[in-house]
Amino acid sequence: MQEPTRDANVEADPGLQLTDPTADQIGSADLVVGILAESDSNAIEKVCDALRRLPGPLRIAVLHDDQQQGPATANSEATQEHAFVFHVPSLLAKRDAPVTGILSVSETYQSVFSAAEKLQARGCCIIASKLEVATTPWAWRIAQPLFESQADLVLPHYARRKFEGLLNASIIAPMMRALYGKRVNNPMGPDFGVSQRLFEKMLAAKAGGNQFNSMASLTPTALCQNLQIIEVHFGSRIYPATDWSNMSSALADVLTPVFVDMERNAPCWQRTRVSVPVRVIGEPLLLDQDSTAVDTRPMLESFQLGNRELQEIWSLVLPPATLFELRKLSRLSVEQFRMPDELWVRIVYDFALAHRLRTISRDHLLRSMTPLYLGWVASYAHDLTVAGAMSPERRLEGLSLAYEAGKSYLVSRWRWPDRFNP
Amino acid sequence: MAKRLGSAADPLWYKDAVIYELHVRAFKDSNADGIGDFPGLIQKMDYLQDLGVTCLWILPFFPSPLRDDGYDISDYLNVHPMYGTIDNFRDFLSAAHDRNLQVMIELVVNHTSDQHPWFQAARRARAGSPERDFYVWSDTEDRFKDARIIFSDTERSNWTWDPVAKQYYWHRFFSHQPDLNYDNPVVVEEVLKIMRYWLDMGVDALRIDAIPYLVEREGSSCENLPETHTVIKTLRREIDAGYSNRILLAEANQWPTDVRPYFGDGDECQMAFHFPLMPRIYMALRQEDRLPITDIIAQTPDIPETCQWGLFLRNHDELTLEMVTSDERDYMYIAYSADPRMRLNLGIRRRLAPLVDNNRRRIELLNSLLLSFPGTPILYYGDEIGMGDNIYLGDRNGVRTPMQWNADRNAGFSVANPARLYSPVIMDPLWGYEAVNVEAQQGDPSSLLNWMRNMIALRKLFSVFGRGSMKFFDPANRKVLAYMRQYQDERVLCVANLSRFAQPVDLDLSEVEGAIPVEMLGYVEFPPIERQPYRLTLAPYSFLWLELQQKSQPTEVSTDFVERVPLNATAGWEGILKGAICQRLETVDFVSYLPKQRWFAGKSRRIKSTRILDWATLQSLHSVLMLLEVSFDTGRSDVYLLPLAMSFAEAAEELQRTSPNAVVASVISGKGSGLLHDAVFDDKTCLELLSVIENGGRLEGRDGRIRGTPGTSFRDILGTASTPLPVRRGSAEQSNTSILYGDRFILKLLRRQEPGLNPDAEIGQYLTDKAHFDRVPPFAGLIEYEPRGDLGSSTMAMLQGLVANEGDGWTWTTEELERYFETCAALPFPESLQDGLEGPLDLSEKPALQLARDHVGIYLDSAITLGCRTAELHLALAAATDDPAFAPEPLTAGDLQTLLVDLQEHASNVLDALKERVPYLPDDVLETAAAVLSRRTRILSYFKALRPDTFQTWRTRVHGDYHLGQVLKVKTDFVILDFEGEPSRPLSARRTKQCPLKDVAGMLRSFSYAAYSSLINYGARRAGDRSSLEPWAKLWERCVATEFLRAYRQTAHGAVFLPEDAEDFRKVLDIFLVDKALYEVLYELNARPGWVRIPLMGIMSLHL
Repeated sequence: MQEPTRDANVEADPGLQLTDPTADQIGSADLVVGILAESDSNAIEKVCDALRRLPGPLRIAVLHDDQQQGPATANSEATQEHAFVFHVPSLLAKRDAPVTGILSVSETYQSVFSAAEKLQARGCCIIASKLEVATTPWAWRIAQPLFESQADLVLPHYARRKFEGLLNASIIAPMMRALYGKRVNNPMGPDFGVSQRLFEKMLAAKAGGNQFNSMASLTPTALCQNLQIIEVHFGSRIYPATDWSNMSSALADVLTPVFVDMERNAPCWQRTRVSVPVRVIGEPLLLDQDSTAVDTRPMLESFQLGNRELQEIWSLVLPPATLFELRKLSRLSVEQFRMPDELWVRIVYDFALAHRLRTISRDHLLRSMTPLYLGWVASYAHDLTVAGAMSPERRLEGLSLAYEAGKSYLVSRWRWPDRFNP
Repeated sequence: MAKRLGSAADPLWYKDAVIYELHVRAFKDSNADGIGDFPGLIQKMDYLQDLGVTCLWILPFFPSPLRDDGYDISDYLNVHPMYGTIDNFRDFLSAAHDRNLQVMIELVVNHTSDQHPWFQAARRARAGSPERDFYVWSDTEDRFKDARIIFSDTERSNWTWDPVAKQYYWHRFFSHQPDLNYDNPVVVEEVLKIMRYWLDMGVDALRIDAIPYLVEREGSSCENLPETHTVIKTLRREIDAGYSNRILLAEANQWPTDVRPYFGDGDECQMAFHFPLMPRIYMALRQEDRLPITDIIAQTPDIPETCQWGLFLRNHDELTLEMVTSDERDYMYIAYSADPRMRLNLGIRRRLAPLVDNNRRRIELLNSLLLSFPGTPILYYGDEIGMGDNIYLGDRNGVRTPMQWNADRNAGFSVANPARLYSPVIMDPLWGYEAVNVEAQQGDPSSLLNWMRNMIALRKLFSVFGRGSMKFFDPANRKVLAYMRQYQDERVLCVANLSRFAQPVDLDLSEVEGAIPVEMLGYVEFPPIERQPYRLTLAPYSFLWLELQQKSQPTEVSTDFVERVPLNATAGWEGILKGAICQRLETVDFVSYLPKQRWFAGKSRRIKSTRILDWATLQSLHSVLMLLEVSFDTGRSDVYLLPLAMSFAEAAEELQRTSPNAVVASVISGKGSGLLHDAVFDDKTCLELLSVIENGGRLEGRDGRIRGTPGTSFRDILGTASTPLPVRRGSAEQSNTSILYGDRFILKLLRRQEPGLNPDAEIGQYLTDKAHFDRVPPFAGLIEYEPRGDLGSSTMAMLQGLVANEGDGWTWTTEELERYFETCAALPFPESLQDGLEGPLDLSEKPALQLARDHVGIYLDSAITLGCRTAELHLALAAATDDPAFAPEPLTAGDLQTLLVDLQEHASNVLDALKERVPYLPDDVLETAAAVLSRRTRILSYFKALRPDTFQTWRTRVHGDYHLGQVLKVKTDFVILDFEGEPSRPLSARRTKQCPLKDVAGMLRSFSYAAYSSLINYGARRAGDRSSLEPWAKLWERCVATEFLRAYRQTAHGAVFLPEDAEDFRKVLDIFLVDKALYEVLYELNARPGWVRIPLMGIMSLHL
């Protein structure tokens, strides 16, 4: 007897699955939209209204966690002009998880993919931003390219103020641009549109290995598989306030899956040499920039403290030239302090390499990066507040170019991680 | 037992694998009994994962009397108690799979141990019984006499008498290993059961031991028999039917051609060892000569796409020398086993590091070859740390000593009393475990272990090593081994120095000209590859892996992926061509649009920026004529003419569908969504351009004016044709764009703009309006751009009358030659001409050869006509005129001297280039090239010898780029086209007056090219005819050239530009012929080295 194939053998957590009776009740859907954030009936209904604007005939299943919304309902049949939207509440219900009590973000994504697979959907969308901060047009903006432009991955391009989403803007987006050669602004979403082809790959990849984070791996997977990515201008996203005094966990949480993906995808990104823009739909929204200054003093104090206390760890990760530069930086006054992008980029790349080589405990490693990150943020803040400062976009474009320029450094270190280096 | 999945997701996983061969017994002892076991192996799985290997090959671990290191199995379905239990094996399998490691075990089924229950039952069963039939029996030793004895050191026969069975039993190896009888279907079924047992457990690969010997047949060597392949196909079918991603590896110590059948048609084993390569690698290293390696690879046949060779430097057996000649074996014994104790059977029982005298560079070099040769590398345990051997142990046990983990007792292998160890650890000062062990090397960043880990990781990054093709280079220095691996778009150049001294090497990498080698270990970019040999210098025993990358496109121009926001065109052209939108056009849209245009001459350079210099709307406001300056990262900037229009609705959709490359950008206006595009694709614009000429229209630009001027013939050509004339676009242009208007006009848009009159328009107008020469397309008008200020005007477009024709002269001539060769192929070459023909100039002094007319036929008439027309053209251009641009001028001695110096310098440069490229020329060209080079002094002297003051000639405007492609066949006559000159030269140079014989030389060379290129094409289809037709090609060329020259000289007789004396004529003509031929040599050297013989023969045919 032929053994089952790997794909057929995929089994996610049963608690996350669309149960068969429900799947039978629904039949199939063209599009599955998972609303991951907690939300009320009104907000969900607004999303559904927006989705109905998609040209029909489409059957759209909206998965959410609102028990008030009732079971799957049909308010009308799909027509040529309008999509048919129906609710599927409780499908993303939380399982009893004694340790954390909540589903991890990655698992929740995976559950939407599983549901989409069961409903034989041609695509799925994930709205992970809280609906109070997401505008209702997002739903159809992110869905539309899946059907009209045959996109495999629709990524958001949020308008942002200069200190919003900096972890993404200073590390994740420019590094992915340098690594994978496509200029995407929010590679980790969290809102996505995903084609059937891609969510099937994600399900297979999850089944094939551990340490797979669906949210972080979506974009690298699409990039390495050479799938079509479209970026959509979403307008403004309201970011949660950043707690600059407690960045360690955020850094570790965000960078771990990114660095793991780097290791997994090394054969792919080491082939890419230059970056190109992806297809972009919509017009950028220009926001009034917040004129309030960020207090960089505590950041630099953290940097100085790290420089004194973390030398032992840093010296395992960073080459002498970098340590030397950091030592010189630590002697500068707050006003003088500037961390060159080239230095910052090498630091990030060296930490990625140390993560791969398991030089020290990975969590420990990433947490030790916090003072360095704060040093770069302080430097960025200074750059934007001096008279005649450049725009945040130009400043960050310069950083992206530094990541691209530094890629050969990363590749050479990655391929030949000799510690006897400059 | 439930069937478990294999661990590999990719069906071809074994192609990318790095296999690590180990013996459980020797790896790690977990229970202090002195023998390695599976729990011990599991403890070391992290080490193996960290090393980067992807597949573990476990030597036999089954219950066995262990008289042949486990290859004598007494129970196929269990684990030897010394190594653990079957559950321990399952735990090991899971531990491996958890780490994405595949597992290969042994399927030793050619024979069993004589202790196997099958054999014990067989010897006791009656002869002919099913039990007896499991093995091969005979009453005498006489059967299968032709089979060799493999273990000749220990066995005297392949038959051994069994006193219980009272018969002889057959064994190809030791006498305690009776061979199974594969003619018995029950045996095959039992083997299938064994195979299923392990595959069901999840094992990924099976190495079939001693595969050539499964079946025996009388009168044969009992090796590689067809019946053996039938058995293997049965095993493979079973795997394919029940399992996915599992493989069979064949152990057949045979020549590659004999091993090839074990791959079948991809329906037997997926892998097989390449045994003969291994000793030859060592031989090449010792001899410092790549030949042993390139020879054996050349003898290696292609294998099916899904199959793969298994490559190794060392394994658990002796370095086998069965697959070398006796001389080679003697050499290897001398070179690698000075002590006779190092020898065993036909081989050398030593590990890798001792074989190469523990030289780190040699170890690295050999591993670099192993990891980059086409196949899957197999590492032998301990070789990654450079473990030594113990030649004082018997059999092959010297290379099977305990793994050396650290400097603790028993090398960290076991905590047992050292006396209990299955084998002593290596203890000598050089190789002992205190000096060579894993722990020490893990702590040493420069250790061999870390080097191996990095190299394995690097290999795994590139599929090309496991899956790519291989091509050897043949540099003169044989101490250097160089080869290219290629898989899809991945190309890696590997270069290895087999010598103990530094070596230089020149590699002909012209096939990858333009690529940039990037050294793969350090990601270091090397200088780009050029047509010239690529020179490398290699340190002793060094190697280079160079990834060949295409020159990266700058990010600024990589805009194909952008779906750009449509340009807002609601404010019309003013809105688009000013401000921010204009900036986007200049920085983004034009940058991506230009390289896609055929007429764009800057494709080889990177566009740095573009700038709109000026533009003017056509009267309907529908479109614009624009001048765009394009700057490059190197060289001077160019100016291009861009007619632009906007289309909307269906017209835009149609354009997007039919001519997407014509689209510059999307636009949006009150008319809806549309496209900004090349206006040539808009009929309305094309008609407006015609109207500008017809009406002498004026279009005001921002910094200049565009002016149309009709030629005097415009009305005559237009005649009574009904307007508007239908518009179509030409398709053959390279540097310009043509628009055709019905059967009346052709408008040539001159894309690359230069200040000054375009010579094509200038000469066309002169010949039509002033010289009234009617064998050119009549000039009908032009459009010029006149910048403000004193800057000179430039020609934007030229209008000519459309000439009905039967194609260009080149096409017509080659078609005629096709027929000519077809006729001559069946004929013997005339004896009267065997001694060769005189040159065309000499022949033209004599009556025409009847023989020539018999064969060349009507083409001679055409040559005569062409000679006449060429002379008439020159006469027209030499006519007295008050136009200084055309008035003939004497070619002074000074002019001639300058010309000769230039030509001589050109000749010298070309001959230098030819000399440099000689080693890379095809064989059939070498002789001619050498002959030409031997005439170097004579050629250069010829330029010097010409005395400018001894004769007088004149210079006039000439065609400048005259050849058969520049004439149109019009019934029995010709029309001469395209007076633009060589487009690569500056406009001023193209307008200078020159000796008209330059045109004559151009046409004569064109005849030669037509004859020989047609012969090459004809010969490509009928290889045998080429050499026999060469005299016919020569005959055609001479006869045609003769008649052309005769007609030319007769028609131009008495003209001022024609040297009166025949010898002077010859000298001047030969100068231009040599120069043109040398120009062609340079062109062909760079473009088609196989064709360089054509111009070389042209040079040789001249009486210099």
